[in-house]
Amino acid sequence: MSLVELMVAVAAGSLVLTSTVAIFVYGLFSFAGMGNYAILSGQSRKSLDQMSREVREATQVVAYQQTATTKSLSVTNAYTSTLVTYAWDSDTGLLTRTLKDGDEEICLSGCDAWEVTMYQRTPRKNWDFYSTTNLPLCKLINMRWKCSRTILGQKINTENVVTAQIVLRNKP
Amino acid sequence: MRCLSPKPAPERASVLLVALALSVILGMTLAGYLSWVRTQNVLVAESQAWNAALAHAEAGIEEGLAQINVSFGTNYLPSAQTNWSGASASGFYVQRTDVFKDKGGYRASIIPDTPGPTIISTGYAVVPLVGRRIVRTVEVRTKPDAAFGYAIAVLQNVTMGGNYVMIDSYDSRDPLHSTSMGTYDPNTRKAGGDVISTDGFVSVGGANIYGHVRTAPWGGISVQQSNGRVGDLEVNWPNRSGIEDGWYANDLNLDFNDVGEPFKAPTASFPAPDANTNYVLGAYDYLITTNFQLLNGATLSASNGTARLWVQGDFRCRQGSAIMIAPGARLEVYTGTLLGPPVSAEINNVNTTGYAENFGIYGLPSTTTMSWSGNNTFNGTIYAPQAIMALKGSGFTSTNDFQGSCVTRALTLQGHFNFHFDESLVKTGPSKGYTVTSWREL
Repeated sequence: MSLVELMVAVAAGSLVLTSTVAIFVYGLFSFAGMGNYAILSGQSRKSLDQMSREVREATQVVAYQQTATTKSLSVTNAYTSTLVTYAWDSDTGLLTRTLKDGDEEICLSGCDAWEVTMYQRTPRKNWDFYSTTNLPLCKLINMRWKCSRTILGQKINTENVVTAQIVLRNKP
Repeated sequence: MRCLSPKPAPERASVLLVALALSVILGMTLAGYLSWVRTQNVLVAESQAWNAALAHAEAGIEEGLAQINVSFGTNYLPSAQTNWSGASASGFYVQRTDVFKDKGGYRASIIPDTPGPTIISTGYAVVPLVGRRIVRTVEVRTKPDAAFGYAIAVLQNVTMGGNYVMIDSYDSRDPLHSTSMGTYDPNTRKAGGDVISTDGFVSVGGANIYGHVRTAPWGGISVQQSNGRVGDLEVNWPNRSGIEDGWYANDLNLDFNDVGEPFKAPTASFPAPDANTNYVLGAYDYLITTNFQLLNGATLSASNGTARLWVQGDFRCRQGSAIMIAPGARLEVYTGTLLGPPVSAEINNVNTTGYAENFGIYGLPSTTTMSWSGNNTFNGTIYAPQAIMALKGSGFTSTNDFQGSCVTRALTLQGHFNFHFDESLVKTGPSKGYTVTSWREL
């Protein structure tokens, strides 16, 4: 094998190897991203199902707080004597669910934003609803959150936005 | 010159093996990836079906609620027996299959119960790709919805003129909040004189409302700041004017069904008046297809049981006439028709000594105007959602008392006028249908 042949072979091999590594790394990122999407989607679905069930069966919103860094919503169910509080902290990026007896669990992690808007029972002509900040008038809640994950410290296409409108069915 | 010798056979085969191995690895990776994507897709589809199943169950609840509120009142059984299947002991059910885009459907049941029927609906949705059914069940309990739950309920505007209109409440079945005869007692009155408008404004002006006011968000309230008042009794809220905090809300979302025909055929002929121009009614259904007029000095009285009088034309009780209800009797007067020409009703002295629940005047859709005027007393209820009503009090210092409740399209109150809502109507009065008391996913 001559030197020229060796150099051509090395060059060709390097090209193939570089391409392979690039495809492999890109694939890893893609798989990691897809995995993050799956985790976020599953987490959101589970939380949404739990929250929507509890809010839907609630009889009243009893507390509501909205600041730039902390937000919370408390609903009560008079039929089951339960009180549940959802609270979001921007510093930790956690949305937690706390029961009356103090039991706390994490609903969402990596939660960049969580917004709650209250509406009263009366619909507008276009089927939108009138918003309110008066707790006794709240009949419908709109929740919106955004979660994200990082890959090697960077947020790369792994945001997940969920919006839900839930009616308090048992609110008189 | 150097000649290359051909490679031996095993070296050529190694390239093929490497290529095959790489193909297998790539193939397995691709297959794993596709399988993983499919799993994710199925999970998302299941989630969507999970949500859809609840929407389908609620569609069944809606159909059940429509079935038990098919018309004014609480007698849903004939309609449910006709339109839904099932035996009366186990309730009635309806099944709707494959009525939604995702091949979803529901099965809803109405179970006779106390105080109102229970509706159970099972909704399902089919998960695409796997064809599996997801099922969710919702139970809704109901109770009768009082036709007279407020002092004044109107669809459009309430206008109170002058400074002499006062609205409050009492409870004819509670001796602590009524006289021994079950009538209004100013010393034990309550602040339950609620006034609501589903689609209009409440102009309080200089009136005093001892109760809450509620309108829709597009409605509103106006109160004369100098002497108009909406709030609790003076002992709890001494302000002489304005609106007490929390006593006005603009979130009302209500509906009032029209009154249907009370009966198909009369069970007795309307009696001729006696020598004293008194018309005495028994526990029968009476029909008058023309106008009816009760002249000055004449009386229309119910002697026993429940009498139902349906006047399809104008119903006029002239000044000096009276409608009397004997103890233990009850009178329901229906005016107008479902689709006929407009008619009006005019009333004066009514049931001056009895309970409000014992007299009711119900305006069918063609009843478009009603009035009550003069120096009279009224103990009863008015339900005429298509009628514009005028309550005209005295122009003098004497006050007229209306005890009971009224539901009309619009209402004007003028002159010296006291309106006392009988809170016992919520418990003992007629119901306009059923309302939901609890919603629960099973």
